[in-house]
Amino acid sequence: MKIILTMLLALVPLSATRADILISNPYIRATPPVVPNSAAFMRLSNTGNAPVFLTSANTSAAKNSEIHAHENTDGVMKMHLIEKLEIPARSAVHLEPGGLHLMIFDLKQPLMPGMTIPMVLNFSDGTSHKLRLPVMNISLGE
Amino acid sequence: MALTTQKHKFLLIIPLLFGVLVGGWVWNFKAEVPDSSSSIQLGGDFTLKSHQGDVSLQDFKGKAVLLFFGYTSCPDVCPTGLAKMSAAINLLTPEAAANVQPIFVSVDPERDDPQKLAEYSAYFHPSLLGLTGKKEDIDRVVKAYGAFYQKVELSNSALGYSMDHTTRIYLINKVGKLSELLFHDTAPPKIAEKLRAIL
Ligand SMILES: [Cu+2]
Repeated sequence: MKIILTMLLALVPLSATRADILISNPYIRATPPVVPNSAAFMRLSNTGNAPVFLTSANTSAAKNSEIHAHENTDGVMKMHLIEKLEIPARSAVHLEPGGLHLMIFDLKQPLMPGMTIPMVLNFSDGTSHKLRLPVMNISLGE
Repeated sequence: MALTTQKHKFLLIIPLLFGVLVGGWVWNFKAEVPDSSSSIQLGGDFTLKSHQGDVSLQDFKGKAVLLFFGYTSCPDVCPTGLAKMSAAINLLTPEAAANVQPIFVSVDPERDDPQKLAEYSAYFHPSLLGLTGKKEDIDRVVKAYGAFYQKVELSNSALGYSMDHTTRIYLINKVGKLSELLFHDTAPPKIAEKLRAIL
């Protein structure tokens, strides 16, 4: 029940914003005690007829948030920073483990399941979306 | 004259041989999952540092070992690999689980000291052992296992640098021989099944 409520809460910004960007299933990974970094994942969809870029993210729970991509080349996982992330017209971009993520640095406290983290995403069309990300353990994908 | 030709021929052979050797090595390195015949050459004993001192693979003779290379600042690949290894061990009977030693080798000794690794590892599983060492010691192990990592400066990033790295989970049998290569996202029941088969 608590989980469902958290998820519903996380979906609230969906209906509250007028822009063409819809954010669904956002979450942030729980962290081990000694590493103040985490990664946030979500699906960004653009229902409009023009591409929109995610230009930045920030959270009061940490010092820095960056847009990162992973690339698996011949079994080697490479990570790099991207300045802005395009969400093409009428399509969606998935931020998911092993791929695109928002990397969160210098968290003020370790993240544990049950917590929620506020975040603001800024887009190239001038809109900002406020959302709350539930903290989740790593999916075991069984 | 004849001798010089011979000499020249010989000199020509050297780069050829070298090419074959390097080519073979690169080929072997590039192979996603070496088949059982080529994986026989990979692996072997190693010694690295834990928070309690030197640890060697051969300390775990009689146990199955799960080995994973990574670094603690890794955003999701390493936590995923370690979480899956841990979940797999938890699927085993307590007796079987006691005969499995999971090991996490950090290829980032600049940021990951043995104490930090111990705390990080305990978060995933009580028996997960975090190891690291001097760069040359790490490099030797990485090479022996056909793994790869590379420090990459990330300009404009709070991370400073990232470690590109291979994401395999190495399954090592009770006599210290590499048995199979799995991936960081292999499902826990699959890992558990592989463990049961070699216990
Ligand atoms: Cu990242």
